[in-house]
Amino acid sequence: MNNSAQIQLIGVSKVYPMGEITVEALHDMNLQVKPGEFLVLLGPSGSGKTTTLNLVGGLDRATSGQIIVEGTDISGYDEGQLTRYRRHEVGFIFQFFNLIPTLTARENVEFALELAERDGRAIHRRASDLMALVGLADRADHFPSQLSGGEQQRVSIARALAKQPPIMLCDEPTGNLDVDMGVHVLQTMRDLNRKEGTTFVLVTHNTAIAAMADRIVRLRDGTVAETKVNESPVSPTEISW
Amino acid sequence: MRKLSIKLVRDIRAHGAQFASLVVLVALGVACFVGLNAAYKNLAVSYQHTYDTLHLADAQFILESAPADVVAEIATIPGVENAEGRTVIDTGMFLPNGDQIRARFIGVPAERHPTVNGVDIQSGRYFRADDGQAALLQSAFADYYKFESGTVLKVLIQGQEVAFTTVGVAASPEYLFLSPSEQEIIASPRNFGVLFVPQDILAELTGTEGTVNQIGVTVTAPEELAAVIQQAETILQPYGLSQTVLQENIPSVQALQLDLEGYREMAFTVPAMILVIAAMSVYIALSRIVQSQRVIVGLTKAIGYSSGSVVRYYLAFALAIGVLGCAIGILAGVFMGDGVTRIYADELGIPLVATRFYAGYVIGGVVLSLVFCALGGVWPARSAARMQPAQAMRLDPSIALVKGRVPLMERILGRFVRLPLSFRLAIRNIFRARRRSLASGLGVVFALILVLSIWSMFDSIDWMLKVQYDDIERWDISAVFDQPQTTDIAATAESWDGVSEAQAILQLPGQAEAGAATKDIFIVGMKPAEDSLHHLRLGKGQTITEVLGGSQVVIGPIVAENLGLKIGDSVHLETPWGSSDFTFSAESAEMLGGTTVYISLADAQAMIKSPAVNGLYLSVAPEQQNAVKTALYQAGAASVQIKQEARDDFRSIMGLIYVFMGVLLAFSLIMAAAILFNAMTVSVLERQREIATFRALGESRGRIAWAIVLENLILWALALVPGLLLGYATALELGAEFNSELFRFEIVIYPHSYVIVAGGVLLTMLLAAIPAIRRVNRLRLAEATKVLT
Repeated sequence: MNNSAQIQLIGVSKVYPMGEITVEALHDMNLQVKPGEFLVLLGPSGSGKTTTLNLVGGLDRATSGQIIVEGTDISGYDEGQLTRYRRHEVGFIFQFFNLIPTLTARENVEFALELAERDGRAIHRRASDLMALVGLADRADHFPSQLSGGEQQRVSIARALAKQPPIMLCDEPTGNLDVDMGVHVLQTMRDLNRKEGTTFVLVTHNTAIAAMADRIVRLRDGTVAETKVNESPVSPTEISW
Repeated sequence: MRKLSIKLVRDIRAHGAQFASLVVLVALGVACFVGLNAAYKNLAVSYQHTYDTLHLADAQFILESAPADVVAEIATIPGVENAEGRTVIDTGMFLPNGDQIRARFIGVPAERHPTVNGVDIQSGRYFRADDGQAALLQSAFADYYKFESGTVLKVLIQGQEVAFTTVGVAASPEYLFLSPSEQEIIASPRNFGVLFVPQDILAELTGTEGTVNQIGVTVTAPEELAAVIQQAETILQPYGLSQTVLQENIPSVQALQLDLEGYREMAFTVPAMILVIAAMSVYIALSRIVQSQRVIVGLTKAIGYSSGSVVRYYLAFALAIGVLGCAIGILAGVFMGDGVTRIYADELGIPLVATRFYAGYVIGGVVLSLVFCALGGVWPARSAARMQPAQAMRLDPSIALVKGRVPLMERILGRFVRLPLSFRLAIRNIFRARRRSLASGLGVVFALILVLSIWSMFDSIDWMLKVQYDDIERWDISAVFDQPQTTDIAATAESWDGVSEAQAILQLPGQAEAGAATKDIFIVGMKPAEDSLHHLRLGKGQTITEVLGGSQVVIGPIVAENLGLKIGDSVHLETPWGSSDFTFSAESAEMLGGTTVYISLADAQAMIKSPAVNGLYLSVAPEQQNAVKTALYQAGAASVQIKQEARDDFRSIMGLIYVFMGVLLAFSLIMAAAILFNAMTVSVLERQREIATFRALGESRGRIAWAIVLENLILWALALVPGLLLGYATALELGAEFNSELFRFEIVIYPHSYVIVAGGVLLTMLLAAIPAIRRVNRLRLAEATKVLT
């Protein structure tokens, strides 16, 4: 175990059934993430990127191995411990935004805030601040069906940030956005990483995005194929695809 | 307000039509529970209120003849509140149109209302001292013939025609139900009337001045009754005391109690059935909603909401249905209870109606509603809570894990006929999403059960009348004579124009005794060889000549059950004119009048030690029936009944039941529509992305609608057999609630009824799918093909 790592996967495997067959999504995976690191997980479809993120995020359970976050092995957590872990330790940004369609943009953010805060006014204030942070103050009372893809993704970022988690897990955050919007979203993430020290683990199959990472880990067939430190991470504004 | 609560309200709105249909189901169940039970209670209270206010006798002593002043002696017995003596006779009466019917004349004081067995004046007035030959008509009789004050009716008393002038119409607690006797608990006002006349006038006309043949008493407290009866019987023994009738054994009271008991069973069974179906519908609908919201459930847990929050959320959805359903149901139930009470009271002519608000039933309605909805919602709620977030968000709920196999049904059908692709696709759609198909199929099954079980009541009533009036009672006219006749009366009747056959019978009121059990019965003595006009429904292979004669008795199943009799057991038959022991030889499944027992005419005559007969069954050509009826009256018949009129009378007596069944059928159709709407909506809306993809590929709206219709047709076909079978089983259960001494209910469903019900449910299914198809037709394809929910 590496005490300086914020996140460690040690010998992690994940097998799950899909219809009549079983799929080994991860095989004896070993991975470490340092505090404040901006890590990009690259790989083709089916390489285990999303599965890795789900395991670190406590959304799924490993078949075998250890997942150590902030020095604690979460792979043995019961349901209640996992709930608290998801509530306080990680924020998730999904490819398909996954906003609750019957809540407005601001209410989607408040939905996450209510887990930690009881004061309605404080919740409303913080949600409004977060909406402003992602540049959507004037769209806060719109429903997801009234927002563009980029706007929805920014709302989901604001929601993920609401709990001020030390770790942010991003699954193809720009997968459904155009280049300009995607760059804008990446810039927001980059700023948070640099200013707040939030650890980012970003999953993508887009190699261009990898240029902004501190470190790039390539996955293939459920295991780490290559790890490369990026000596000079570029600004998202310099990225194009 | 917390966001989960806001989300709940908006989710309910988003699933508004489904939510509303489930609320309707619950509301119907609660309305039936509150309404039917309140009506039952109201009726029971109204009956008792009428009995108490009009001082219905706690005990009635039937005598041969006693001096009137013995009433004063009875009144001095400790515990007696009031005592009243009277003369009661049954005789023939002529209607204004010349028809003759049976009538019961009851003497009441002219100068005051009776202190026991009072009457309630509905129109006109009570007697005045100088009225002379005046009469008060019992309300059901008066209403039937539309008699009112001023109507003159002629009565045969001791062979003389005597005219009585109506001064008013009255309701009597003794005749809320027109029941002549324990043996004849239902009578039609067409053939039987009750009149109240001044006691002194009646005594004078019958030559019984200064005497009474009935004494009624009320007691100060119920616990005094036994002692009062004992002392009164001792006093009255010398005066030919033949019977002491307790209040609960008065025929009308018995008939109403039987009716109430059947009603009470319905008041439990029907709401229970509806609420069980409602709970299952909530379970099905919520299961599908949870499935369709898998991604949101996964997201909610990913953000950090606990499993408990998820359970509480979906349970709240179910309970919201319960709360709204019970609010509407209670309101509707209170009105329904009031309405049913008033309709019933109006139909029966109950003079004093009491309707109350029963908080207990309201609370019961609330509890039942919430419990059933919670039961329906708890499993989907728990299944939502158990989802792993990653798995929930990974799978598209509209794409089930396809097994990649050709369903068995397709393989079997495919052996016989080449199936078009649309048909094969429809079958595979059904079997690849088994839970969803099961949910839809169950909806169809429930709808079939509901509609068929209620519809069966109409068929069964029709069957009951057919069997009774076509199979059992094959006569065209029946007659009863007050005075004994010789068997020659049959030959005389056969000589009349239009009469093709006549059979003489002997009819006697009596009691059957077997061990410690006794039962009031009606005995019919008939010649075993002459059953062509009255057919006994015996067991398979049994003939009437085997089971009648030689001191054998044929008894109906309910009386046999009450007496604990098995075939071959001994039973003692007792009549006022003689008694004898018989052997129980066979059961006869009569549909009406289950207290009638049959012995041979020779055995009946031997029992009463007389060769007399007192009744006739006749087969008469339709065009001669009125003439024969007149001839029978001229021959001394006290009452003559034409079968068609008897059938019509019975139908009108059943009028309330038809209304009740009609209301239940309407309820069942509404419920079926709500259930099917739910099932069809879920089935289509879950596959929006798939359907949008079809459209994107170039499939037309019409063909997609046809595909949905085809799937529904196949589902309907698969659900048909279990639904109709279970519907029949449910009908059997419901039918058992109706069986009583008054009539026997055999559940019969005509073949065409199965077709009608199946077709009706199919039509409802197809109509219920229209809103969902229309919604799918309005899909924005660009979005619908991307979005997971």
